[in-house]
Amino acid sequence: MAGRESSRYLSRALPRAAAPSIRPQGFLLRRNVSDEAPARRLSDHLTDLESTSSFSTPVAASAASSFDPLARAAARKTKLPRGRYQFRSPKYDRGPLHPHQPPPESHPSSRLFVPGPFSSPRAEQSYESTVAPDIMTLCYVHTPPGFKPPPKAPRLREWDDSSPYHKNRVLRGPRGGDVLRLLRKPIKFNNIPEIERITIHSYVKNAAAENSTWLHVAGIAVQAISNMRVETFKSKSSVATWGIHPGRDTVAVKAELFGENMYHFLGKLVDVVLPRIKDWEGVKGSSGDSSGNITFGLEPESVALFPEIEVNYDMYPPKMIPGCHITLHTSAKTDKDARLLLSAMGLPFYGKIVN
Amino acid sequence: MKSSYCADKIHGAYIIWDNFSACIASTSRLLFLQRLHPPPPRSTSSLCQLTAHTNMSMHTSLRRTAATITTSTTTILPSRLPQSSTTFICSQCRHATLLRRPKRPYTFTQLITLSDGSTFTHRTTSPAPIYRSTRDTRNSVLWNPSSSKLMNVEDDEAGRLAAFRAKFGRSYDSAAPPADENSADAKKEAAEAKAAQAEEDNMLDLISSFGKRAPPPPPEKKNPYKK
Repeated sequence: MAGRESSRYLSRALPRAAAPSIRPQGFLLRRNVSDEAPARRLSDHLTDLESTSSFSTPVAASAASSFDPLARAAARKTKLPRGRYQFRSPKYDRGPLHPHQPPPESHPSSRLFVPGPFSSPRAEQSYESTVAPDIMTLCYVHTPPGFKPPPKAPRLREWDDSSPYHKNRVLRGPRGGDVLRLLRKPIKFNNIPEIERITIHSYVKNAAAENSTWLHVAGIAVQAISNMRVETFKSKSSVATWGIHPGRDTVAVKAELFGENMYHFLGKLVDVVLPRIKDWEGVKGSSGDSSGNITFGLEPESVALFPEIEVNYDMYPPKMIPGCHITLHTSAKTDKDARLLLSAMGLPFYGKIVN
Repeated sequence: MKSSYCADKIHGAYIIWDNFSACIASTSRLLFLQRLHPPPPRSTSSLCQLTAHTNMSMHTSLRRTAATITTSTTTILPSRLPQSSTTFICSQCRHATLLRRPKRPYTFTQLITLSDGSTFTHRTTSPAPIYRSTRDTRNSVLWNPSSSKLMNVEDDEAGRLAAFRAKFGRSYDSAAPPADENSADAKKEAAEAKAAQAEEDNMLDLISSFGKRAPPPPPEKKNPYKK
């Protein structure tokens, strides 16, 4: 949503005392030309003001005596309906200009609210107590006082003004490729790499050629191992040999794990599932997108080793358990740092390490 | 400005523009022309009509942009212009979006017992309360590369396996013992050195184990040739 501010017109037009909102209305400072007629002057505004304060006018005695909310509640025979005691979020988001706005997602009354976290996963605890301080110590680079790093060349190269056409031209990318890598800052206490999210993605090629059972099974399997409801995706590219057309066939499921779920999944994966894979050497050292995200794949037989699938393995149709790709997104800026973090979390790497 | 297709008709109905910059430019041109040839009494409302026309011709839904705000007509006093130019882009969508409650699978707390007896709990969709693992990081070679217990090393202290292999083994088996073992001299020397080392070790053991309890007997080895 782009603008979540409520309308400045409607907030003036409608009396809001009847429906108290959770969010405080912003103080509106902006004036518009159309708000005031041009003929009106300052003196006219002054005449609108009352000369006496409202505090000085006496309140009618009947009004004061009749206001007794406690007695009114006691006199009530039946309870009010539940909705009168509880704020309920609107069912629909009707846009930023609607006077009835849903509460923010983090508010418990919001329809999008997800409670939690409820536990402190073992992997998270070991990260906080052991891994993070270790990485900070390992990555410490001592510079003597008064040390100034040599100036680096600019990341985007300028054009030498050999031609008059170089004027106002956009800067050139780095040498040896157009990719501008992420900038790695020295690792300090406030930017220790951590795992941000884990994506479990499964591309089911048979979903297009045969029937949707494959996709349902894949979705349930991924949901079982990840504790998350999956999203489905349509194919973007055409694969003629599998009969997949872009935009027509739903072929993939994905679950994104954050926070508590993510650490539970990581602990389970590292401690229980990966050691049981036959002849598994580890994650390939050349994997990674060179900006700190590492991906590896699991075969269908390996996915079947998860305790959640193993416990009712017979419920899954035979041969339909999918393989999946697991991407570990870290906040590290290079693959080297990401590997350092993940190997400290217990993920082995093998082969040629490419950073 | 790029040469874009511009067809304006000032007091007419249609205005067509190719891109947005053309829209701004032609709006200003329109206003300029309006000033040159002031039309019969026209106020802000007529201007609004014009801007509405522009919006209609852009084939988008209601969209307020800088073009509608950078207006200066003679009807509005110059002192009454609060904003010089504000970019206020509001693309209106008229549908209501259903706020779906997120669906979360039910999770149980499960106790995982690793092979060395250590336990931890985690949340899982599996209803089994306890999961005992037989193979995990504690007894897998990949995670314990230096553990001799997990290595596939043959225990052959008595030398029976080697003797068997020397007698009946194929070439790839009998290649295992060193070649100079056959020479009697080397064998004798090696035996002497071993005995001397053993005696010294015995003495050292005797000294260091004074006043301590006797070490427990070594565990029985699994030797297929032993009864």
